[in-house]
Order: sequence, then C-alpha cells, then structure tokens
Amino acid sequence: MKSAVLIIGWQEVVLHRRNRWVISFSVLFAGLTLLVAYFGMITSGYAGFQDFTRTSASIINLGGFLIPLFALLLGVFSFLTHREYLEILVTQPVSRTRVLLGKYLGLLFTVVGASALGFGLPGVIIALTIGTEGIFSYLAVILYSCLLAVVFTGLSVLISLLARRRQVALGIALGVWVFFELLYGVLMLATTLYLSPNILKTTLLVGLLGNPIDISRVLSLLQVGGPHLFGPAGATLMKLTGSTTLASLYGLAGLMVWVVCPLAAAIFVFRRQDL
Amino acid sequence: MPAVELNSVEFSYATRKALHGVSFCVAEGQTTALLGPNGGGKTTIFKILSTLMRPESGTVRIAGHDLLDDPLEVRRSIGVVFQGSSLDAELTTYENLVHQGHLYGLRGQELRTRIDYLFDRFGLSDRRNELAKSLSGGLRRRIELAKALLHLPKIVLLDEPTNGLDPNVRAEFWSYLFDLKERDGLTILLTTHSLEEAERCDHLIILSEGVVVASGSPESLKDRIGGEVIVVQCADPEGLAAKIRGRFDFEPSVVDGVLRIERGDGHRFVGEIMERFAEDIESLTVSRPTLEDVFIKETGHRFKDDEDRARG
Repeated sequence: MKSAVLIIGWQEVVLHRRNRWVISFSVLFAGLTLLVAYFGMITSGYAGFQDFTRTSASIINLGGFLIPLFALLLGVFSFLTHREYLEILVTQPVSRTRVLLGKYLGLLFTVVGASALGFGLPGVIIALTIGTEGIFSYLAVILYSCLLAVVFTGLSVLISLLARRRQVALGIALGVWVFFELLYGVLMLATTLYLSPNILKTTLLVGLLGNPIDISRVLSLLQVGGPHLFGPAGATLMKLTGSTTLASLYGLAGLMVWVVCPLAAAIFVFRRQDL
Repeated sequence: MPAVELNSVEFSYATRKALHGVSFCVAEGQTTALLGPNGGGKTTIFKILSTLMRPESGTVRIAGHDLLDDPLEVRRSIGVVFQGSSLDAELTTYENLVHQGHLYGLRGQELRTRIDYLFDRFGLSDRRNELAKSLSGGLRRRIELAKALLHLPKIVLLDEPTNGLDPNVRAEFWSYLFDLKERDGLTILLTTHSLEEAERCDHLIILSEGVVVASGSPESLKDRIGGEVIVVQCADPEGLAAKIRGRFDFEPSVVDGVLRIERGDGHRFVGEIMERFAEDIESLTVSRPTLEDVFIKETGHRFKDDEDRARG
C-alpha cells in the first residue's frame, strides 16, 4: 500500500478542484498581486507595472498575510466539514498515519497550488510586459510563501484534530492567525523594552524563530536584498551570521521545525484518537 | 466461527460510561440488528467494529481477526455504510467508486468490471455520470452500499441505513439487503432504532443503556413473553393491579402509567376482567407480543422512554 498516501492525497486534490473557496482565493490573490504590482509606486507618481524586484518587495506582506489565513481555513473546512468522508477513509485497510499524510499532502498541494497560481499569473503578465529582470527575487518570495503555506497547513490539521468541532476549530484557527500576524510582534516589542542589552539579541533571534510568518518575511527580504527593510530581528540575524547564505540557512532551519512539529503532533494525536 | 464476536467490551466517553461489558456473537450469513433507543450504545459498538474507536477493555474479533492486533485485516473484511453520507458531493457516482476501489488496490479492467456489476445490480447504471450531490437520499444510500461492497467484504456494517428515507425507498433498500444475504451469503450487521425494521432481521441484539438486555431471533424473543399481552388504560393502574392480583393468580405490572398483563392465554381473561372491573377501565387491548413488549419486559420501561432518558 505504498501508494495509499498518494491515492488519498490525489483524492483530496480532486475534492478541492471544484471548491469555490480555492478558486476564489486564487483569483483574489492574483488580482491583489496585480494591483500591488501595478499601483505599488502610485505615491511616487508612477502607475504601471514595476519590475520583479520592486514587485517582490511589495508582495511579501501580501503573501504573509493571506496565505496563512487561507491554509488555516481550508484545512479546518477540509477536515471537519465532511467528517463521514474522513471516517470512511479510516475504515479502509490503510494505517491512520497514511490516511493523515495523504490528506495533508492533498491539502498542501491545493494550498501551495492556489498560492503559486496567485503569484504565478501576475508574474507571467509582468514578464510579458516589462521583462524578467529580478525574477529570481520574485521566485524566492513565492518559494518562501509556499513554505509558509506548508507550515500553516500542518497547523490547520493539528487544530482540526484537537478541536474536533468545526466552529471551535475555526475560532482557534482565526486566533492563531491573529496571534502571529498582529499580537506576536506587539508582544515581542513589549518584551524587548524590559530586557537588558546583553540578552536582547538572543531574545530577538529566538523571537524570530517563534513566528513562521516573520521567518518567511525575513527570508524573502534577504533574497530581495533590502537590509534597510529588515526589522530588528532580521537585522540582528544578518549581523550575527554575517552572510545572507548563513542567515537564510538559519531561517530555513527554523521554518523546517515549524513544518515538522505540527505535522508530527497531528500524527501523534490522530493515531490515538477515537473518531 | 462467528463473523463478529464481542467479549466483555467496555467503553466510556469523557463523563459517561457507554458500554458495560457487552458480549455477543453474530453468525455468518445472517442479518443481525443492534436494536436500541438512541443512547443505548449501538453507535458506540458500530464505531468500535468499524475501527473508528478502540474498546477500553474486552476483545473484539471480526472474521477471525482481533480488532486491536490486526486492524488492517479487519478493515479488509468489512464494508461500512455510515449514517451520514460519505460520498463526495462534487464527484460523480462513478468517480466516488473509482476512488474507493483505488484504496483497495483495485485498478483497470477489474475495477471497471466490479463497478459496472454493482451499478447494474443496484439499478445505478444510468446515474454513473451524475454528481453525487444531485441524487436523492435513496440513490445515495444505494451508492454507499455499492461502495461498501466494491472490495468483496465478508461482512457489511450499516449504521441506521434507512434513517431519513421515506417508506417506499426504505422497503426498496431492504430488498437489496435481503438479496445480498440470499445470493451472496453476506453477513449483515446493522444498527436501528426502528422496531419495524428489526422484525425483518434473522437475529436481534437488544441494547439499553450500554447493556445487552436480550438477544435472539425476533420470534424467539417474542415467544419468551408467551402468548398475549393485555394492556389496560385506567385512571389508577396501581389500584387496579392490586385488585386483579387479589382476584387472579397472576402478577400484572405497571409500566409508565399503563397496566400490563402477559399471559399465554390472555384472551380468556379479557371478558372476566372487563366484567369485574368495568368501572375502573378506560380501554383494554389484547395483542400478540411485539418487540416493544420484549423491550419492556427486559428493561421495565418503554422503548421511547429510554430514548428520552438518553437525551437527558
């Protein structure tokens, strides 16, 4: 049953291909990216598509804002809207770990696919309009945004399994999103006000690893090449590691922990859970 | 070897014990119903049998395989139909079955042949390209059944399979179940709270508050009561019971404000009871025992009252 994971995963993708939420998200995301790319410099009196480098810098926050929300909501809806479907999967001769991995991979493919489409279509338009200069920065932003999708898909699975009821899971998912998007930064800022300078750097680095959205943002900024755009954590990371490559590896390692831990916890819970 | 065997199975939800040492066997090739009011424990047993939940203690064997030691073999032996629809509404009926087949390693011509056979058998051939969401409840049930049979299981588990269906569709669904038993020799285990549906089964396991209170064929269970049941509606059932006790050599019972007399020769007493206690009696009926009577005899209360109690 090696392919059971892939079968369940593909089934999940097929289930979502006609999902209006997925389609709406892709369209919304592509539309907003186009708007940002076109009107990003309107305050400077310029309207028209920017090149990839400028567009990349402009869309980092857009991806960091929308993709986690989309992954969290889709994951909760997928796991808890159609409970009988999950239950019937568990009665097949496939281990629960494989059932979960299959569902997770299918969900991930959908979220990453929709996000990549949302970034990709505007990318094609920009490339056709003003050329491909700076496209690698744009691709890096897509890559790190997709990694963010991986992290939050895992979190959505874990939340769904723990909450068990859709309304509760949706509440928790929204809470998690608000926490990482808004509250975390405020908490970190408040914390640093009371810290002595000798542990401030360590706190900032640990704090950076505590928020996958911040990690993804810093990784994207490292590629776009704008040290002046870093927050204090990003600047500290660059200063400590000394190079973009080391800083990127440090950030990627942090993101990997965020990818693996929620998924491992979800498998642990699902294997022992009564449905 | 029994198709399904439970021994001293216990299960608790967070604050409530749902099963108290449940033991029973299901014979191969029979249609067996777990009959009980809502909250009686039948859905908990169904979930354990379909490997969604693990028993706290006790043993469960299905088709000779231990549920905890060998869950994958158990899953290969069973086909499951849940109460709610497990079909994907956005897929066609054919696609739903193809996905199910893939999970059992079925592919290509073999899978197509099995799907065609099941579609033909359940009268679904002209629905193969319709989206599941566009079908009626009865058709969906048939597809669920076809889906459960795709891998040729030995045992089919159905949780309240006709719940929410109108009487005609319900009768039609039962004809398919009978056919499966007669032609394929399948073991069918279903849960129901319908006394009428339970009458159609070969064997019943009656549950109340997580305990097996009786089991046997519908006829043998009713025979335990013996003969006839006289039900008397009156203003003072306890008082009338005392009067009857004083006059006759049998023991009437009072269940939920209704006086009941179970006698092999009940009809012989009807005239005399009416004559002697006419002023106390509002109405009197005499009938052959029903499964409701069996439930009352074994639990001391009515089937519906048990449901009300379970709902709290």
